Amino acid sequence: MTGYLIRRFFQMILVVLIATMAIYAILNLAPGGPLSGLNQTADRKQRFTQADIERLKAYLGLDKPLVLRYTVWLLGDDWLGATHMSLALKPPEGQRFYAEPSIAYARGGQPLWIVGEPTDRVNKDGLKIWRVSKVHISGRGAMPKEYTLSGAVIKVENRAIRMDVDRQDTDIVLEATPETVWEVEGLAPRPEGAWLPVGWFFGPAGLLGDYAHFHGTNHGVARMDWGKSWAIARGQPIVDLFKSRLGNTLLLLVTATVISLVVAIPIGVISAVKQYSALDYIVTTFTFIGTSLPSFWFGLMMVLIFSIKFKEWGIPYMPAGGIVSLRTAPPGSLIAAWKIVPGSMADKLIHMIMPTFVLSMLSMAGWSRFMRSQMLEVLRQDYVRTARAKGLAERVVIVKHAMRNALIPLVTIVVLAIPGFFSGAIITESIFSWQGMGRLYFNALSADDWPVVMVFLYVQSILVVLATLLGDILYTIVDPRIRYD
Amino acid sequence: MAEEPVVVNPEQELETLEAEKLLTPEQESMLSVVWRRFRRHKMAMGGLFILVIFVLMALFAKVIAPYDPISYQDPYNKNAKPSAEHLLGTDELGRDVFSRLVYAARISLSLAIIVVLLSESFGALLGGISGYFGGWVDSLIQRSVEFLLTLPLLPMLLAFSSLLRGIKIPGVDDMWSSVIIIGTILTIFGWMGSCRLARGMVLSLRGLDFTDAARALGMSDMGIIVRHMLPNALAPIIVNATLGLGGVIISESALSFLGFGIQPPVPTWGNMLQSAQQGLLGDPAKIFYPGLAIFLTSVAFNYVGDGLRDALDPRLKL
Repeated sequence: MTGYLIRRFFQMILVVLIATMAIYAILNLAPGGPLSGLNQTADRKQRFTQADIERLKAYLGLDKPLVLRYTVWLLGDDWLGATHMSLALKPPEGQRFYAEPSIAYARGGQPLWIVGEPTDRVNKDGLKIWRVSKVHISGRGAMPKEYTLSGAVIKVENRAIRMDVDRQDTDIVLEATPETVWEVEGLAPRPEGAWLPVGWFFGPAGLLGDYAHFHGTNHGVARMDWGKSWAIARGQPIVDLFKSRLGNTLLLLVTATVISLVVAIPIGVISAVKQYSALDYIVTTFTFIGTSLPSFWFGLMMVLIFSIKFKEWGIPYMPAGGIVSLRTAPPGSLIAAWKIVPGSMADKLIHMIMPTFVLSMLSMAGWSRFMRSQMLEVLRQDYVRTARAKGLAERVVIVKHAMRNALIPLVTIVVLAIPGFFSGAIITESIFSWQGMGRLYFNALSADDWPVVMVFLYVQSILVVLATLLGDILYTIVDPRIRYD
Repeated sequence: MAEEPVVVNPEQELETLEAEKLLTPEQESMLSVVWRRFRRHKMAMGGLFILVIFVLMALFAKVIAPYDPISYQDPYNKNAKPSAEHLLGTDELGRDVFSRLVYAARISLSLAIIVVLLSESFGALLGGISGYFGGWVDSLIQRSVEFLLTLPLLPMLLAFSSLLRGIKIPGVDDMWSSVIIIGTILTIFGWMGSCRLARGMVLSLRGLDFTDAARALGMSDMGIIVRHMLPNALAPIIVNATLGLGGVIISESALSFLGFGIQPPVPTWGNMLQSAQQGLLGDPAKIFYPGLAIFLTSVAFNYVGDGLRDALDPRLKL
């Protein structure tokens, strides 16, 4: 088993790695590429010129070789610039994506490039405090042997140093004085070993080009630095974006999963126990219909009937979408009728009813069908007959002996629903404007927010692989007849 | 066959005797056996009936639909309620909803059939190769299948169609580019099932004598796969394909509904639902009928697939 687990673990890493490669390559190499959506505005004036697009490409690093871009996306580029400090570190001309770039000179005439924005705060000497996103001090020759942070002052001991502080969470304050003594708060010195000899992997500097000035602060998706959104929440870290949505998705999906399990298991058991009865016939038909019912239509019809038609007919109607009502509940709605405080948990629950119902219907159909077939299988087993022969009550036989064993395979199927807790339900969330992960993904796709899309797919594929592995492991635990070694 | 006493005339020539025919019970043709078994599945027959109606509707769309689904637009009669003139009313551009519904059947069904034909035959061929040759070829193909199966399907489909949204295929009318693109994407993600089925079947047939015989007769490997192996895997693949047809229709409509599928003005049930949702939800007919069409075809394909599975399964004696 241990050997199997280790093997599976490495396979898993490989699969995820290939998945990232595939996702990255496909999204970047597709005709039109990730910027294909840019020029679709009908208004000629608002269109980007070719020069604009080139600049944008350079800014986003899209003009670099794909292998390099992929590596940077996955592993970051904070370790990349180390061997290429000799390259000029000045912002590309006409750059318009940085907030107020200012160029100063460090001691010794080395060009120093600071990217950041002034804050409203002023220090004790009356100098404006800057919130800095990047500091580059470039020079020629070898890498810095060492550098120190003495107190809060950076001293550049050698000719070349590059520091990346492009982290929104670190509030770094730089004070520009003519002596260029930079006060830095909250910045940890980079240990020397952190520099990786990139040149070994990527060959001469030629391949990297002037890559060194690009970003250089990104730790890479695999190191949990998921970057920032381009479009739907410009500049906002994707992690924050996910955090703000994940709660809603979990609430919806976990509730729906629990409800469908609670309903599907008894339905499956009963229809198996009473096989070929009228009830069984109804259940089988229901599951068949449930599995072919398109969720988007089902959801729309619910909105149509319970929100729109109910409103027309003057019956307290359901909210058509959203998570909570806005300030006041509309008159005539269920929320107003029941005098529910907008924004309260009860309000949320009312909003959850329809999307949860749609989602539960979908998984319920499949799971009860599965449960039924498992139960039929188990009921045929000898140990069930033995239990009956012992004189146990039929109830006990079914619940304690048969159902328990029929539940086992269901566990391994239900595990596969876990990745959905992250990705949400794209269609259902869209119909009910539920601000969850699925809707976030949908919005990101609509707005060509490729960083968000790629991170979403990356996390999702990891979760799918993990869930599959978990399912396989659970299988061996719950069914000792299956052995993988 | 009537049981007539056979009078054997000793002078009769052997060929005219037809002893073989007389001694063996009359063989029912495969098709009629399947049909006889299929008919017992009431729901499958219902499904088949629905499908026949939809196929007829698609074939005779020109006759059935009173208006052209794309070019007919009445700017003075937008979002009309159902009337004698427009059976299901008009949409937000003043197009006849009923005509679009009928033509959408043509597009959705033919797309589904083409996608399933392509993906199932591609999958079967790869599965055949995989099972027949074994070794690294097998590993490569099977790992690719597993890999594709791990990718989250709907997010990937959406990402693909979103990326390829604006692409115009040269030589094809702009309007129809999205149909081809969506078809291609669905094919790419649809072949894995039949690949596994075909592989399983070929693995079990590989060691049998007739394969050796075919090889001894000098048949090429590909010839053996295509002529002798795959026909044996046909039954499960046909079932898989029928169930797949429903799946493709749902996937295509889901994509179109989300706005990433087949783009208007080409009518599909999915994008009709989408435009109905975007406009006022007021007219139930515009939401109800396209969705009902999607639902009915997918249920019908599922039931027909179920019926075919019962009918084609040699282990089931009915």
